[in-house]
Amino acid sequence: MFARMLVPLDGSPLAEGIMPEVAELARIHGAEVMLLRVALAHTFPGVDATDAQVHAVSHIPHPPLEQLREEMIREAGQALQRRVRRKLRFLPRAKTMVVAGPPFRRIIRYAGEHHVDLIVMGTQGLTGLDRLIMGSTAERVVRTAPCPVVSIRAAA
Amino acid sequence: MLSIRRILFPTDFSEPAEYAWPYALTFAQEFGAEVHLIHVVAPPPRLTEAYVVDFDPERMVQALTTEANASMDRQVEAATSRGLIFRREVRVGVDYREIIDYATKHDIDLIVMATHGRTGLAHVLLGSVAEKVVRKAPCPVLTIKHPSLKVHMP
Repeated sequence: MFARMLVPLDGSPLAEGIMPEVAELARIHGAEVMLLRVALAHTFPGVDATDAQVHAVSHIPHPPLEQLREEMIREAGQALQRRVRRKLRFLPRAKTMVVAGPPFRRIIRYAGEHHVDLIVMGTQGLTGLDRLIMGSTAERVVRTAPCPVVSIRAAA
Repeated sequence: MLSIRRILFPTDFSEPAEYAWPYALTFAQEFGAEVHLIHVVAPPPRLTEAYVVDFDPERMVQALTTEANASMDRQVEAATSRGLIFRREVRVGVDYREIIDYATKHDIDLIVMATHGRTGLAHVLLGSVAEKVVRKAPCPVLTIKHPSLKVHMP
């Protein structure tokens, strides 16, 4: 039923905390897992270097800088892979991608373009200060996703 | 490790709910989980005796409950070949609250539900019940959107 699963991440530990659930779901469905790290233009300093790095080079349309941007995105992808490799050791085929842009749009666009069958995401990310409020990105994804979505609230 | 032993399927017997049902069954089969169906009947309006001559709220709730149980029984009957364990319950109260209360009390591991229900206004991207359940559920929630309600993003 679910051949391709998309897991959006925002660099927060809460978002990455859902890895055990993702691994189990993917294992049972024999699904391909794609981790999509969307780097925001605005971020909380010190949380994760990806956003600052991508932001620093994504606004200037200058060829050498564009190349630098590509490199940084690639590096961020590898860093992400290393970080979650432990948690996804049962899924050696998990792909990781880093893209820059508005999170909700990038997630929905990616899901559509890659014919994703299921999106799995935590409902509180970077701005999840109040446990009772669902993150705005997660809410938008649930509303407009082209496929079923599993929403997981972070453990208390 | 995630173990899903009990799946809750809230239903209002609408088309979107019907569409979401196979997802609940598939997950149940794959995880070897029990499927709990729940239908929530809204509490009857309180009417003062001065207005109403022949209205019995008790009987109305009773009729709706009986009907709901029968509908759920039919639904379960149609799925017996899958070898799953089913449970069903009808509650009277506020829909999302009863769903979350049931999920908490019965140690539900996954809720599978449609994004919209009977009053599914197409321009509303997420029904109010699904939205509240996703926000407050004590476990993961799988939301399924009926194809006619899908949004085409630019």
